[in-house]
Parts: sequence; structure tokens; C-alpha cells
Amino acid sequence: MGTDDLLSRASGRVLVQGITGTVARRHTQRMIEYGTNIVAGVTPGRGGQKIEGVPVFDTVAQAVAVTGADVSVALLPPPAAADGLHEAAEAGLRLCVCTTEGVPVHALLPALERARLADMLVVGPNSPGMLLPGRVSLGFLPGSVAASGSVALVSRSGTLSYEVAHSLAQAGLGESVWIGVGGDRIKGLTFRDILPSLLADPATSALALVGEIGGQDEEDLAGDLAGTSLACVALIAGRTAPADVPMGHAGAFVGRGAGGYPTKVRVLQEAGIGVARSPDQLARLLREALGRV
Amino acid sequence: MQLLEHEGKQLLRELGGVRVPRGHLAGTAAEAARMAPSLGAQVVVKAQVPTGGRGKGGGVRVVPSARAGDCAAAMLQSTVCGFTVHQVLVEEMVAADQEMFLAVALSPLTRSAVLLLSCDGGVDIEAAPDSVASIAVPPLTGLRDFHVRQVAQGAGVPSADVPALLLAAHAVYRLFTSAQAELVEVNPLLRTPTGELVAADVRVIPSTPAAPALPDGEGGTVSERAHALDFDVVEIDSAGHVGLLSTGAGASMLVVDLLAEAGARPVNFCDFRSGRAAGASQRLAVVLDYLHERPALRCLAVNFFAGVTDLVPFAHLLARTLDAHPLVVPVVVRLAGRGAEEARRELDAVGATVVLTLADLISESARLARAEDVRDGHR
Repeated sequence: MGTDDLLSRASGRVLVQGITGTVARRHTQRMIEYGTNIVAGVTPGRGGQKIEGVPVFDTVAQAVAVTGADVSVALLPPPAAADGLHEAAEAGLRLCVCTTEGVPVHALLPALERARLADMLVVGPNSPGMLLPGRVSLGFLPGSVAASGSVALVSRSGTLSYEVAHSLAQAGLGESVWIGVGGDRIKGLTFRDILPSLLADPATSALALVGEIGGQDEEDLAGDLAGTSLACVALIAGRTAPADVPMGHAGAFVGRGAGGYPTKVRVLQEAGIGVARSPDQLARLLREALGRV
Repeated sequence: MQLLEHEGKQLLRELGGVRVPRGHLAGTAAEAARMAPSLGAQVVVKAQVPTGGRGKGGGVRVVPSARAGDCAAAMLQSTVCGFTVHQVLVEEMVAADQEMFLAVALSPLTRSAVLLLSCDGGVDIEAAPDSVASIAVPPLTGLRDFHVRQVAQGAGVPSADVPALLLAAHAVYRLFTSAQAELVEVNPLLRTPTGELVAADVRVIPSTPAAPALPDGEGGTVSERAHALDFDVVEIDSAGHVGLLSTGAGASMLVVDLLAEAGARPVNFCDFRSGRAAGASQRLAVVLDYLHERPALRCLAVNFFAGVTDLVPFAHLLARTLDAHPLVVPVVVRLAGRGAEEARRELDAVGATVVLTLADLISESARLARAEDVRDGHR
């Protein structure tokens, strides 16, 4: 699922699936305030209404036909999220950012495959979103914490990425792009899938990688990053978490010896990636790395 | 949490396609003794606990059926792999000339189910990883015969055995999808001298564990009480010094790491899910009641960097709660995000120590955790 045009796809015409939900309306308002080009919303049965000045349609296909939308922010409840992905893929959208926590994995798998076959990139599910500072917010990342800069901030955790963004700002750094891949073990774009887009982005000079125990995402990225010239510092949460107990995220689960902290750190360091112990230290190490360039 | 063996076996029995040994559940030695003779001269007595590794843990024993009662007596109420045995499965012995391994699991790499097969199954399968053949099952396609034939070839299964294997693999895959499992593992899948396949052990791990059915929200562990209210608390050290009230799984994991690194002995992980306003007071009660009972608590650390959620309603709730039921230990609060200034003022007004940075939260909590003199009234 590797791609090098994620950032340009994110700059398209945006529709919001599930726009009439109470929380969805507030997120939509904030995205519009941030400057996102939201051209449509979709909620079955509510076509013809307007939410925050945005026209609502009954189906994604209708919204696309009328407005030319090519990006979706899917703010849907768990029972509707997989269907929403299928519908977005069939309607020809190029990117879907899915914030839903708790999508049943058996429903998710066919939806992700359908998206892949339709060349629709998926960020999430269980993602806080994706943000291009000063331009586009897809989801509910806190725009007030973001600053424009040259660091790509990519994270499995929403809240921990807020801490890192805050520390970057304190250190005089900012983001070229901020992407939450989400906390689920099985998901759309992973760290390694996003890397080609970051390498191809002239505005990105460094990578802040915010990971956690469980799974292989960080190790897979390390393999691809070694040999490139992109400076990278990682922060890995869960060093002291008990084994065999999921810590909040379905993905943060070290069982049967897989995805433990010491292995992750070793693999990252062997690939030339600095490993920080705190958000402040990550920002300091990145500033040093950028200073050397 | 894994299903019990007898539950997985019953589901597989209902689907058909592969033989499941005859067996009976017994909750007492007398029941086991009564059921055993009809199953044959020898029986297998198996502890029903929700974990793998029972064989090595003494939870699977082959005995003459006349001894089944004694065997059950020894096993019931004992501990196998950390679980108390409340029931045993008394099962017929199946003569086999081969132990195979057949499983369907989820793979994040292929974003699909994978079918796994080995002719080297049994308790030591983990020692023979190279013997396991696998194939990704595309979600939109589902399991087809050619997938099964491919792993059969990869595992070295003789072609005469493939027809029975097709039926067994489809049955296991149907169990995987109908149970919405993360894993269904048949190990060993026995091959009898006549070529019949028998699922001697069935392990099913559902992907969406059911919320524990707590009758009125009380009882159970703090994790269970939190899970019933749709948030997360994990006890790390009941005798720890710093209780944590925090939001966001990743941020909370990091706070636990930083506290531990500073020698502050965190009691718990907590993801309050502050994005959900409804039910906040019940969630808060679960955390504070749990921390009230911790014998060595020296401070409560509160960390909320909530992104777009307004902090003021939560701060108001927390301030009211602390005011009405003060903790005997100091409360250190770090808030950032929307409404943070007003939220900080609310908590300062009820005597909490308000800090601005995560680093300050850690250092102040660690200082209190290391303090020799603990405030009066604390157990």
C-alpha cells in the first residue's frame, strides 16, 4: 500500500461522511475554520439539508457527482464505518480518513481490500486525522498545537502526538505534515506506507516517529528508512507496560514475544534512528539533527 | 479472552466438516467418574482454562477410565497456567499416526486472514516454525480450495489426505468468520490410521471480547469495572505511590513510563477517554474509588492534554468531586488544550497543585512519591 502522493491527495475537495452527527458537526466546523475545503457532507436520508453551510447528500456517489469531492473524512459510528469505506471506494474517492474507534476487524478487512483495489488510500481507522499546517485538517487533530515547519509528525497515538507537536513548537520546530495512523493493529496506511510520500515531499526534512509497543510498524519503517537521508527521531510509549495486557489500543499489545520495547529500540537504533525518552527530548534531538544539515 | 476448549469444540461440531472427539464436561470428580467408562478404556482429562500451554502445565492427562474420577479430583480447584480449574473435559482417546497443526489467524501485514498448516503439530509446534506453510486469504475472496491445496503442498501433506483436509480447513475458516475470531487454532489436528482428521484441541480467541456482564457495575477488578463503562484502567502496582488519572492511551502509557523512570512507582495506567462527555462522573468514581483503596498511595497525578475537547466541564467535575470527597494525598494536575486556563483555575481553587508541563507533572509526582513523611490519615 506504499504511496508517494498522499499529501497531494489530501489537498483535494473534501466531503464528510456522517456530517449530521452531533460530534461530527463540531469537527466539521473546526475543519472549515482551519481552512479545509469541505464541499459536501453525506448522511443517508438527510440530503438537501445544510450543515455549517455545507450541502448534505444522501449518498457519496451523489455528492461526488455534484461537487467533485475526492477526499472523505469518515466520522461514522462503528456499525457504519466499514460500509462507509466501501461506499467511498466505490464512488472513486482517492483518500479516506477514518476516525472511528471500534470498527469490527472482520468488517474492516474486506473494506480495506476494496479500498486498495479502488486505489483509495485509507488513514485509520481509529485515527485522530491528518493535517497539513495552515492548509488542511482532515479529522480532529488540534490545529492550535500545529505549527508550520519541516518535521513530518507520524504517530500511532493521537494524544501522544499532541504532546510531541507541543514540544516541537516549544523548540521552534513545526510540522510539514501531521498524520495519525491510528491505534488499531490492522489498519490502512502504516508508517512504511507513508514514507515514500515524505521522501518525495520537498517541505519535509525530518521525521518524528511516535510509536508504541505491540506489532511491527516501527521495525518495518526502520528497514525502509535505513539508507535514506531523512533524519528521524522516535518516541516509543509503553516501555514499562506489563506484557500480555493491552494498554488501551488494540495495537499496543505485547504477546508471545512480539513487538516488545527493547527489540523496537534496537532495530530503530540500528537503522540510525534516534530514540527519545520524552517529547521534549525528541524535539531537542530533532533540532540537533536539523542543525547539522 | 480465549474461549474454553469445550466451547470452541461445540462450535466446530455444529459446523461439521471435521470430527470432534466425544467428550463430557465435569464439574466434580463424581461426574467425571460416571462419564468416563462410556468413552473407552482410556480417556483424556483436560482442564478447561482460557489459555494455551495446558499440556505443559499439567492440565492434560491420559488415564484409564477407571481413574478418571481421581484424576479430575486432583485437577479441579487446582491452578493450571495461572487459572483455577472449575471444569474438566473428559474425552475419548483417539488413536493417531500423525499430529498436524491447522489454524486461521489475522495478519496485519497482509490485512487479511492467513491459513496456517503444519504436519509437525502438537505441543512443540513453536519449536518447528519452518514446518508451517501459510497463505493469505483475500478478504473479498474468502477461503477457496486452491488456497488449501497450496498450503497442503507447502506442508508436505500427501495428496490422498487432501480431501479430508479441504473439509477441515473450510470448517475451521467458517468458525473463524462466524466467531469473528482473531485466531482459531486446531492443535493437534490428528490423523487417524484410516486417514480421518480429528480436532483434538480447539482454541478460539474472539477479536472483540464481550464486555464483562457486571450486574450493577460493581464488583470485579478495576479493569473490568472500567471496561464496563467503556474506558481503560490497568493496575500496574497495587502498592505503588502515584495514582494516575489521564486521557489518551499513548500519552498515558508514556506518563507511566516517565513516572517509573523517575522512581515514582505508578499504581495504574488510565485512559479516561475524555472525548466522551457522557458518563464522566461514573468513570471518575471508578478511578478515585480504586485509588482510595491503594495502601501506599502518595499522590494523584492528573494529565489531560485533550486536543479539541473542552477541559472546563471535566475540570468542574473533578474539582467538585475532590471538594466533596478530598483525597488524603496531594493532587498534581497538568492540563493543556481548549479551556485549559479556566480549568486550571478551578482545580487550583480546590487545593490541587497545578503545573503547566508534563515534565513538571513527573518531577512533582516523583518528589511526592519519594517523600518520607506521608500525610496523616493515610493507611
